Amino acid sequence: MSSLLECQTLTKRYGSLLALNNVTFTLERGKIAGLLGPNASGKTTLIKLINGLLTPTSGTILINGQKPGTESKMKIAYLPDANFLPEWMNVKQLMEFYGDFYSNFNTNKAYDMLARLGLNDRMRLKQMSKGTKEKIQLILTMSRTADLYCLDEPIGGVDPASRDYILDTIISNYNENGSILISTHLISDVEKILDDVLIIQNGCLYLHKSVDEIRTEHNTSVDGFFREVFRC
Amino acid sequence: MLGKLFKHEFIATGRILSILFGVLIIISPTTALYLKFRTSSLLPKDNIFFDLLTILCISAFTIAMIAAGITTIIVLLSRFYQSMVTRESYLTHTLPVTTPQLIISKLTVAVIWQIISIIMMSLSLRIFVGILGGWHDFSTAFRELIDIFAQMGANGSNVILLLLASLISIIVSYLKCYASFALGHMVNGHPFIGFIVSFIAISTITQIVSSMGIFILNLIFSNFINVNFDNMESISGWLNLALVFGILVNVVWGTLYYVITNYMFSRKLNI
Repeated sequence: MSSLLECQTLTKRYGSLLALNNVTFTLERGKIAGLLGPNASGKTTLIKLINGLLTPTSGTILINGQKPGTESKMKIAYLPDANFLPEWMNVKQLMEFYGDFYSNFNTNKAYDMLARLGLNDRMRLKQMSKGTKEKIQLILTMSRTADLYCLDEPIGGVDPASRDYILDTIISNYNENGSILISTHLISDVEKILDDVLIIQNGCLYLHKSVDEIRTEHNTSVDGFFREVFRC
Repeated sequence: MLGKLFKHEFIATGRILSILFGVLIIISPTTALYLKFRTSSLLPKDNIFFDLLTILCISAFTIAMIAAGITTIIVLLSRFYQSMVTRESYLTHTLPVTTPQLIISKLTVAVIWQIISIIMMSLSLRIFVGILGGWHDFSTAFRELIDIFAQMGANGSNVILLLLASLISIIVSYLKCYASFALGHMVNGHPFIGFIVSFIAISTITQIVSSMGIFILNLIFSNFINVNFDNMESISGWLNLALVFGILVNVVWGTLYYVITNYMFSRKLNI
């Protein structure tokens, strides 16, 4: 299988703080990988580096063989861990915005997902609850036929019913020729959809294995393994 | 992609600015009509209510004019800050566009709105003065001012260069703020404080270097500032020389501010 994402000795420093330290891994096409780790382990930093929102201190990132740039941004669908859409915009304006800039944005698919939520496209983001905003962001991200979906904490801070909706939306709508990198600390909820697991600890890549390998080698679930490793 | 950036930049800024200019255009005839009505014999002369309303009208027009000028700048700079530095920048910086395209689209739209604001403010003043019947005096005074400059030798080339210098000055002012935002965004967690500090630093450096440059040129070309003026037969030549010099200096600074903004947002992005 061809590698979609390659990170080589990736390091990111914020002043004296070492956020990522010599992280090296590859992600193949067609995989759903969980980016796991305790809080402040470097998960968001890694995702931001892949999306070109941060500049690495050293090391390289290649997406489909290319460094982060205009072309890679067309291939990556990014869902940040915060509300990032302009609050004054309504859903229709957002659909037009995504449609204008991303040739791989499927407007019909987005409107189908919106209809299933029973939302009106004239609603402005500032009129919506936090949970609804997160769902709109997810719809916009998953309506793109991207090569790589970078989802940063997509189920953090939502109720269990919404978590199911979000995970179902991800599984039913992603491009199967691409890959998903999903960052979370709610492992038990996402474990069922993962193929691979990357665990980051204090900025270092602690482990990169398939879910099956973890279950076979450690005779426990990924959630159980994680709890064992990071027991306080 | 540049066309799409222009479109969405106009939508984002126009939703506030169109209301602002709409209010300005409504306020000027409304207040002027009342003031004209007040001076007529139809309303009682000594009435505190109508006197207060008169003060209110004059204040409303003055405040609307000042607010239109200041708010335009605040809206345009705030738009840049919001979309390039805060959480909204996750969207901006993951669009499949280049950093120069982002800067050029924002700068072009800002300059166009700035020109529209000047036109709208002039138009409001024209309506206000026109309704109050003072336009003849106003235009006569303006014509007299032009005549004075014409007698001193000023001509059309001065006007063209003055307009060009003003346009470049607007562009460079925005680029200076963009460069300050770009440098300020490196201050983790406090990008706005970073902007303020960067703006003060850039302004100070610009002032010092420009003053030193003029001083050195003055030494090299033996009293550069006065010699040309003394040798000119009219003010026109001197004015053109001063304007061209000002434009060149501004172009150099503008280019430097653009390079800083582009470098920081493309090579040192830290969102």
